[in-house]
Amino acid sequence: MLTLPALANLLTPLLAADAGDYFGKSVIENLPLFLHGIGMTLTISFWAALISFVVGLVVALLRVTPSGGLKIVAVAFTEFFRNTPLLVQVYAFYFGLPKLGVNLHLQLGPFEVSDSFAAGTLGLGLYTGAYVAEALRAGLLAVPKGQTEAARSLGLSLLQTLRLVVVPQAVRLVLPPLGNLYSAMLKNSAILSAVGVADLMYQADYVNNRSFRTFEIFSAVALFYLMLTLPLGFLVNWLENKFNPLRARRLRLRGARV
Amino acid sequence: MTNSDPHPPSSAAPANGTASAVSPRGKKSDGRPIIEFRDVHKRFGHLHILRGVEETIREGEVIVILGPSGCGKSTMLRCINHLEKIDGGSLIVDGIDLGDPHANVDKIRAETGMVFQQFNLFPHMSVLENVMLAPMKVRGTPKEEASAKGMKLLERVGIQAKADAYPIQLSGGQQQRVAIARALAMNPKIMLFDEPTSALDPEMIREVLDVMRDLARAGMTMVTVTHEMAFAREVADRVLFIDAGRVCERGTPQAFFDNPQEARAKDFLSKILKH
Repeated sequence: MLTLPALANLLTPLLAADAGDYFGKSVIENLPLFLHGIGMTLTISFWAALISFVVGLVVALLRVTPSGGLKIVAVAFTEFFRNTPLLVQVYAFYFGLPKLGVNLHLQLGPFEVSDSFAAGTLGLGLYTGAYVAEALRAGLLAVPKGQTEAARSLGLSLLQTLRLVVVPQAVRLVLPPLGNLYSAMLKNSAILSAVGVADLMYQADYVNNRSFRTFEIFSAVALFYLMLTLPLGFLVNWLENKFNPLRARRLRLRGARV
Repeated sequence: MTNSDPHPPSSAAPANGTASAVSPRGKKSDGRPIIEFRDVHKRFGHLHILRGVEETIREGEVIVILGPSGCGKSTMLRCINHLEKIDGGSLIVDGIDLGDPHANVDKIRAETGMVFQQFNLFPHMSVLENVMLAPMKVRGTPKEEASAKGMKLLERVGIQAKADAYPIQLSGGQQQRVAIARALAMNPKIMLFDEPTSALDPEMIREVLDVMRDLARAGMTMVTVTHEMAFAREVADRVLFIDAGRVCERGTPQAFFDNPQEARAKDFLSKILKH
């Protein structure tokens, strides 16, 4: 129960009489750290999104095309990565891969990739990729069979049929679920702080351990994550209309907001 | 011998004009066999749909396939461009045996235009893009050429004004005419029609049949599954009556409609002509 005295206690730091102190001071003073963290969160999210989309597309295609052996591999992949915790996967990549002789510390031309970054993006990418594969598969299956038949009967190969006819229609159907998945992925990226990726969550932990001003720091962090995910939602809405030329045009004609 | 000109004026004979092609009725029996069914079988699980189909269709022939529902008409048609794989016998289309696992199926499909009951236009492309797609991607036709040819074909089916519209903005009859133009864009040697008017409102059936009639007069080899008896009677060179997975009766429309021989054909006709 939130009693009045308890509430007063909670608000005390906000109303601190101490001159020069104010709510959010630790955030303001460490703003460069937080901004670096946001930059890193965006970077890992970008690469994980890329990995997850490529992996998801390949796995989804393997599952809808008729080829027995590869289908089993695709199903195994999906079920493994969907049904184990992301943190466990990231740990497995971070601690396990080096044991298997895989060097995660990479030098790609002028860019140095740390082992925590490599393991983290790989883990987040594959984990999200399993979900993306399922969303894409649902979209591909939702395109009527007659579309494939029409394309094949015109002489298009299976790959051309997928690329030119089925996928463009599926994209429109999968945009809303993909939007959900990628906003979840952006938030899930906070888990990578556990292996030392210096993202927003990591910086927040760092500042918190020095200042113990937990409430204001994580209030700010929540706000920062919101600032990252909300535009993603708008982007998805925009894309949905863009991939539907007809609807976009109709809405424009009606003067409605797209 | 192929009809390589995609736009022959419908009043004139095709460029390759043999005597058989000039006369639309009856004298096509000397044309080259282009589709040959030899003891063709097709099963769907336990259902034995085609049970030894035998038929030779010659170049330039207009064939209408009739029969009770579920008899295998559509399956027979879909085997011709390998949308269904045959389970036994041999089916030779334009010299390629579709029973052979190494057959170049894409080639047969490119030479064979198919028109579906549900039109199956690509909804994310404009009408003209629908028509241009296969020539550009399968034949490598340059865009300008594909576009010019697409417009000509749309004109031929009377729908050039809608070139930039999307399929959803068209009526069923208009969509089906676009589907015909799309199939013609590949210069097919054979056109297959799978109940092309069955999903149409009655007032739109005629516009589609008119296009098909023009195509038949221009010498196209056509195989049509339909319930339009008037069309079969007027346009077909031969009618095939399918029952229980076999060609049960074949002949000219006059012979079939006026004097059917098989009891099942008589029964079928009595049901459809008197409703």
